Amino acid sequence: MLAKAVPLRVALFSLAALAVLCGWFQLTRFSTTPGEQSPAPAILPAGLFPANHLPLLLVFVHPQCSCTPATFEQLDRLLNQAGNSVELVLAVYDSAALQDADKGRKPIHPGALLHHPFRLFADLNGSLARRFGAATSGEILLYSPNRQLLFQGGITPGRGHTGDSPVNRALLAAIASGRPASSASQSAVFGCPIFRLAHPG
Amino acid sequence: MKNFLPNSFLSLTRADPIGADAEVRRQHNLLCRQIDRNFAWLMLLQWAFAIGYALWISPLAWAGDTSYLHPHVSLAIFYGGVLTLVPVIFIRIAPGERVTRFTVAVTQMLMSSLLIHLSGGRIETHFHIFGSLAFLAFYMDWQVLIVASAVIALDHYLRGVFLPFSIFGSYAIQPWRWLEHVGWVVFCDVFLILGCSSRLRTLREAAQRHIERAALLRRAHYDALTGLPNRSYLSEWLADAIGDAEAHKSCFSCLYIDFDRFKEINDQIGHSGGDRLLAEVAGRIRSRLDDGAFFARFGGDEFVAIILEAGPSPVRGEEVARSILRAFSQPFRIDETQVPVGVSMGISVYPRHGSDEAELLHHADQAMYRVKRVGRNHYLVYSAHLFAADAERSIAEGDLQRALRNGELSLHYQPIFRTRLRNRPIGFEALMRWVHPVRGNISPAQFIPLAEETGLIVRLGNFALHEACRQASDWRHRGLLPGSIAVNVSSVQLSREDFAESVILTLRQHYTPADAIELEVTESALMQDFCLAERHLRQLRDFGIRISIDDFGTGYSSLGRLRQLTLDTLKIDRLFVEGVATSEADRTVVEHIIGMAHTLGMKVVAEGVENETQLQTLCDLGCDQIQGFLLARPMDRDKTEALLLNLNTAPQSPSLPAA
Repeated sequence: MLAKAVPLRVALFSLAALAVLCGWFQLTRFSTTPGEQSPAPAILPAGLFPANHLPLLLVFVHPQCSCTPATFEQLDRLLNQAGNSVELVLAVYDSAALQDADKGRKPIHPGALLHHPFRLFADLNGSLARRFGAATSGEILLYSPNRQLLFQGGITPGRGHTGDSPVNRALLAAIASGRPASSASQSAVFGCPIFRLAHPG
Repeated sequence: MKNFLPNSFLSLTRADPIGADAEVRRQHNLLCRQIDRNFAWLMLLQWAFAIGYALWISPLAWAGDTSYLHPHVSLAIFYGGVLTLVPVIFIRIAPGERVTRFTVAVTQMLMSSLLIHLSGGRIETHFHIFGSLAFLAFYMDWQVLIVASAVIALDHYLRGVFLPFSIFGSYAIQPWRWLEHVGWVVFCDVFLILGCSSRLRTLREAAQRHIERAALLRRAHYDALTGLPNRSYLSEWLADAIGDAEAHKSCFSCLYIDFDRFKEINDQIGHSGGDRLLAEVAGRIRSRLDDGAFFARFGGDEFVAIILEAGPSPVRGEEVARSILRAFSQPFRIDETQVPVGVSMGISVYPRHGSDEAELLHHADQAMYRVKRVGRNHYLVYSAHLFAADAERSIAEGDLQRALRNGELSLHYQPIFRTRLRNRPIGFEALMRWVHPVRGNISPAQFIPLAEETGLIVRLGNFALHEACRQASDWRHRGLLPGSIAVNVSSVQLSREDFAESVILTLRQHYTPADAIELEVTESALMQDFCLAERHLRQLRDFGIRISIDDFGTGYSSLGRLRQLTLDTLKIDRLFVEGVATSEADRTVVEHIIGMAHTLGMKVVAEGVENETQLQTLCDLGCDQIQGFLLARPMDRDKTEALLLNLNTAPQSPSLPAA
């Protein structure tokens, strides 16, 4: 009955058009939905990291998140411009459960950052991330040499995508000036949840 | 079994000519179907690749310690699946159509967009767009390229607005970069469209050559008047059909169709009317055949139809034959003239009635001729036993030819007497005899009709004339022949333009006096072409040869015309002589024939006199001469010569052979 009323070609066209719209919607939604964020400590807790005269760039990542390489590439761009005027610490989430689930799978390698000095910190069970309110892989915190929070947010414009963005410029300005970044509103984080499944995908 | 529906070759050689544009469209459609098939495979492979690509980049997304299928993989499976299956379904249901290639173009571009996104906007993935455009150019349809380019431009524009980083690697909207993207696509399109244009030109030229070739083939394979396949094509087609039928163990009927009295109709309505009639008749027969039947003009007014059969009997063939007969029950209308046409048909069946094309046609032809002989406007299925007599006739024809070569034929002479002075013959009638080396004496009643049918009568007639002239010359010069020798002339001989000249030449060749030969012509032979016969007979009579009308009363003649001819003798047929003494009617007829002949100044000869009563009656009626077994049977040359010698040496008491 329905097949008689609606010719096959029209049905196919309608299906295709619907699929295109749904596909478009899904792609856009996945790419542009930011991860959860919590406020980070305004003052860098004492004793966690040795005192240094350089600003501290603290980056929280999930070792298996496919968006992490984009974060590394963006960081590489940033560090190329900032030179050695910032100290980079990578806090990589780790847990026994992850190691079990991750068996046989190579973690994301920070290849883009290899020619920059950085410190690697194994964040067991995400305790450090929790402490700093970093719930999403790719979250960046910038503290000034006097331990004040200058920036909190993501550095990529979308999930897994790199590209020029105002965040880069704001971070560079904050590193150079030692004052808080002006475009904090643009600092949504795009990546996988680090320690809890708030919004899958 | 051979497919009776026209195949691709037939479509190239079909009778209705097609234009270059239609041929280009046809060729283009065939090409598009091929490209569609290639695209279907390509898109299925591409779909698999998209899934693999998504899995390779990132099979899983993570949330802390737990993972789940990455949304990109789901998109590659489902969204990529729709972008693949929709065009593949179109390719399946509407191959070669424009809607299909437009669907392919749109979905292929959307697939490019998906792959670009899955790769995170990698610039290398954009080559997929250009590769797809190049592939779409194989359709040789510039509109497809324009649509594909418009789709990808719109996709990039929308992504540039809503997800600029996924296209331009930048957070901000950058219209100039979008224009740059479009510019490169247009640049590519210009090259591809120029290429399409060039290939279309080549295709058009090829189509033109193809049409010319098809026209040549058509001329060679089709009849110009009716548009039907001709004899040559029929022959090729039938050979193919036999090969296929043999391979598939199937049967078909061969209908041999011939118009009745077409020559007379043609004379009546003129040649141009005859041509139109042929075309209309062909159309009417065609309308009674299945689409799958093969119908050809064999030549002249002969047509052949080949009809597929379900079994070894010509069930379908007979149905078609009956249907054709019904179709011909209505007359044709040519130039406001109603022309009734009848058809005779013979049917043979492959493989029952012949294993090759020639045998099948021959047997169908034989069956058709049998219909003509027995009454026309019907059909007959060939049957071997029905045609056994024909086979015998064919053997007899060969024997007769051999008899002419080997001298198995000879002349016998039957004396003719005056009615009232029966002791001396006044002439002879030459009668042909055939002594077969195996079958012995064969009656003239058997071989003369055969010779007339096969045309051998001309050679037989020449032989009789030569032999009679030679013998008459011999006997006359020796003083033996009292009168003349009568030689029978057939209608076929009389219808030849050079008949009179050839007779005179024969007489001269043998130094035969003209009055030593008498020619006997039947009244029917005279009337067939009276003007020609009159000219011949006048010329022969002027030369001195006597002319007689043979078998008078049994054929058709016009007394008015007979009066125009100056004839010497009239021979009453034995049919009337037989009853002259017993039947009042026969006696009256004979009496009037004799009276009429005498009025016209002709002598009268009664043939077949077998008893005294008949003889006496004929005497009473005033008949001049008699011929028959009562007085003398036909004798061979030696006996005739002996009789003549005897007559010359003993004129008082002739001793005729016992009758």
